[in-house]
Amino acid sequence: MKGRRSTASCHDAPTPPAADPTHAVVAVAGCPNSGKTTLFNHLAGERRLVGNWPGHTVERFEGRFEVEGTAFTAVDLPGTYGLVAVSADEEIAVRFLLDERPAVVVTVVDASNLEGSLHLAAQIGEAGLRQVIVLNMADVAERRGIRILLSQLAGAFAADVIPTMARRGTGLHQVRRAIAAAVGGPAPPPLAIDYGPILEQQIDTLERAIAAHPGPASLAPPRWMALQLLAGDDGLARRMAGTSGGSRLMSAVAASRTAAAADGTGPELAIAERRFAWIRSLVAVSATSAEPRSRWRDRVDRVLTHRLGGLAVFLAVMWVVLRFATDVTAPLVDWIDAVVRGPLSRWAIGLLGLAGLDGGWVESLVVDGILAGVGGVLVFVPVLGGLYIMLGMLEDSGYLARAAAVMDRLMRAVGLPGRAFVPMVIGFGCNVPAVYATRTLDTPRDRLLTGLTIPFMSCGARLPVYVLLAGVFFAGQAALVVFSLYGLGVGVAILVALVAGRTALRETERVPFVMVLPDFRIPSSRVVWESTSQRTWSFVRRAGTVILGVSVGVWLLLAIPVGGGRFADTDVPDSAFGKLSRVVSPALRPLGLGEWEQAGALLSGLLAKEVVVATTAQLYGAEGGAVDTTKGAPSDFDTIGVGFIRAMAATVRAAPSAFIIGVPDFDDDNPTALDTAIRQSFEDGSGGHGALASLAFMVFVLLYTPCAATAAAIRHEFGTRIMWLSVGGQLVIAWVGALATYQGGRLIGLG
Amino acid sequence: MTTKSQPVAGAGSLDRIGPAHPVRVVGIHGTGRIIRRLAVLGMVPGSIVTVVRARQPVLVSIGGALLALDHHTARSILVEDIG
Repeated sequence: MKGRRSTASCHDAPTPPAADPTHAVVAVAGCPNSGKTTLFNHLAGERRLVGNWPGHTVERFEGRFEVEGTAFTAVDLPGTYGLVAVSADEEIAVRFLLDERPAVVVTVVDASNLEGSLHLAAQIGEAGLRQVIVLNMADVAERRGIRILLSQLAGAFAADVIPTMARRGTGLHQVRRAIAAAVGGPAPPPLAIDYGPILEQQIDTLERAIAAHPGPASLAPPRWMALQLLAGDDGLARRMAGTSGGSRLMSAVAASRTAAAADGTGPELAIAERRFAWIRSLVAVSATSAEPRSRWRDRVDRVLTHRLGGLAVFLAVMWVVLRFATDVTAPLVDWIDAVVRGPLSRWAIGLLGLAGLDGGWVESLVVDGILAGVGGVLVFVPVLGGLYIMLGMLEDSGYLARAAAVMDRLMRAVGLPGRAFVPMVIGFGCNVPAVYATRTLDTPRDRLLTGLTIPFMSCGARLPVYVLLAGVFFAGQAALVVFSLYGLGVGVAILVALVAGRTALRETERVPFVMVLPDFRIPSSRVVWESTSQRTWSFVRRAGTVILGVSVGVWLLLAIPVGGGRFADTDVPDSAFGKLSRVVSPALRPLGLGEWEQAGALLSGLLAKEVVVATTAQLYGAEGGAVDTTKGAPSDFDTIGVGFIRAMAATVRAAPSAFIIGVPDFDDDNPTALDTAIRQSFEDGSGGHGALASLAFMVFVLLYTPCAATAAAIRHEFGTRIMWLSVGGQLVIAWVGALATYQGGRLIGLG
Repeated sequence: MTTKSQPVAGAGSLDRIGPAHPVRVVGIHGTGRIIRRLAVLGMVPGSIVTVVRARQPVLVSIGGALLALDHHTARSILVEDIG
């Protein structure tokens, strides 16, 4: 990867903008969802994922590009509508623009909504930054009948204005050339907007106070700083207050703010009013107005945001997503399973035989450790692929913001802001980006409360566990079981929010729900493919690194004899792993999980949830059945080639069934040796309540610490204490949840 | 801090406006946070907006954008009829 991530947050010192000071820094800024990341990817040749929801980019990200032999550093910034930040992600963008003062700012403007998106360009112009204005989504604007006079805009901003269609990659050549020209050219005078007599008088007063300020000189124009302080930029005010003579300056600011508010309108609103008046008069002379929004679009949006209708649509959408991931991909899962157990294992043993290593501990390591563990996880690649395709389509369609709007009322009832819904849905894919996405929320209290609920959102890595166990105990009902587990996760998240939000994290200030709904669109196949392949690939890579490491570790612990026996030839229960698991096991007995294998799988799952599957496959595989050596098994060619074609055909046939409720008509496949071993163990561990115990196991997996990476993300965003609180709380909640499932189920006579 | 707009004859809050009926914003009253969130989106005195959906969540079209607001926020936006 060429890009370097620099997560600016309160825990890190800000990283310098470029490693090589000779490279001019080009910042890509713009409103949320205006296509910044798409443009950045084209500029810097990166493959960052894009999303059609506001707040996709929550950290700055750097890449490099060249124009005619000159190298530049490009920085992709979180979206912001203006230069007075409210949320943490906006703060990152604003502080970068104002403190680092990049050589050129590429301001991405939504051509189909000039009035709304030129506000940021105007402020960047007022700050005296050199900019190149990119009118993105020029095609959408044209479709809506908006014709734009580029020269008018260019003249007003003293900047190049270039129409692009970043999604299709048109206009980018001109953008590069304009960047190169702007870096070499003279700095334009700061944009001057007339704020009317009352404000101008105060701006003037403050400008003089700033000029007389003995503190360190700033590169920013004094008029702009005066404007910013008058508008209530807390970040700038805090910094100025800290310099010598700062308190005198701050009292001047306070006096000016009071004087400016004399007519009843606060300075921030009055400044925005004048700025937008300037923008409106500019747009009036430089663009034709859009055709009115189609009634059809309005109607769809009304249905999707309807109190009951919208909720029903959301549940139906989630059902289809999970149904697709679990049921439709099942034939492909079976195919990979057959390939790993059959040809792949036989070839591995054959190769080891050629090297003279067969029959010993090396074979055991390869077959019982790596193939069983890593293979056991890789089997579920189609499930994850299915989930990521569906989430990718959901994210690119613009639906998420609408779902958040519907949920606002419900979320608020439990003490969460409506905007928190977006990070929570992102958590269904992976909890780590979801934790970072809490930066889009307004207050530290909202961020923390949402961060505490995100680990209960069932992520992709938990899905293989459900699919494996539901396949054994609830064949044909897997999607229903999985859907219920996702629902339970949301339910627990709500409970946690209710309790924490009513006690330690009481709401102190009503946060308004204000969200721009991005245009609805047919998901682009390229964007969906890109996000699916990257996320699926990252799952495969984890299988090759984390899961491989843990599999080898578990195999080692299984191979080490404790109290008698030889290395790699111990009875499983006498191994170090067996002994360790036995220590934990009694705590899980009330949950119906009395076998030490279950304790062992959950123990290793603290690292990552896929590991639960890997360890399960290893533990039960070791008891026989890792390699399919059945006589009369189909040839390797049949298993791999013909099997794949059959599996694909079955998947395609099953795809429409994702949209209906009911059991898809799959051929009832025979339980594998692993299935039988798992069933036996759960029956034994619970004294004959296997299905109920498996449910308790899944509930435990749903609720306990998602993975080491999520814990690290929580620590990064909220600190070490909160991380331990979160991890400990999840363990307790998981235990109680599984206990309630098992004992409750027995009480009402289930299982 | 609270900002009160000047009283305007014939003005009402945005949550009382029916759909498909353009109105002009005349003021916003509420906390600094509400004002900041709305102002950067162009919800400032002088803007023309149209309600698309009048009930929670309130949908408002402004410029070329569609905003979703909660009822409480919609109530803090004062608008007047444009004849």
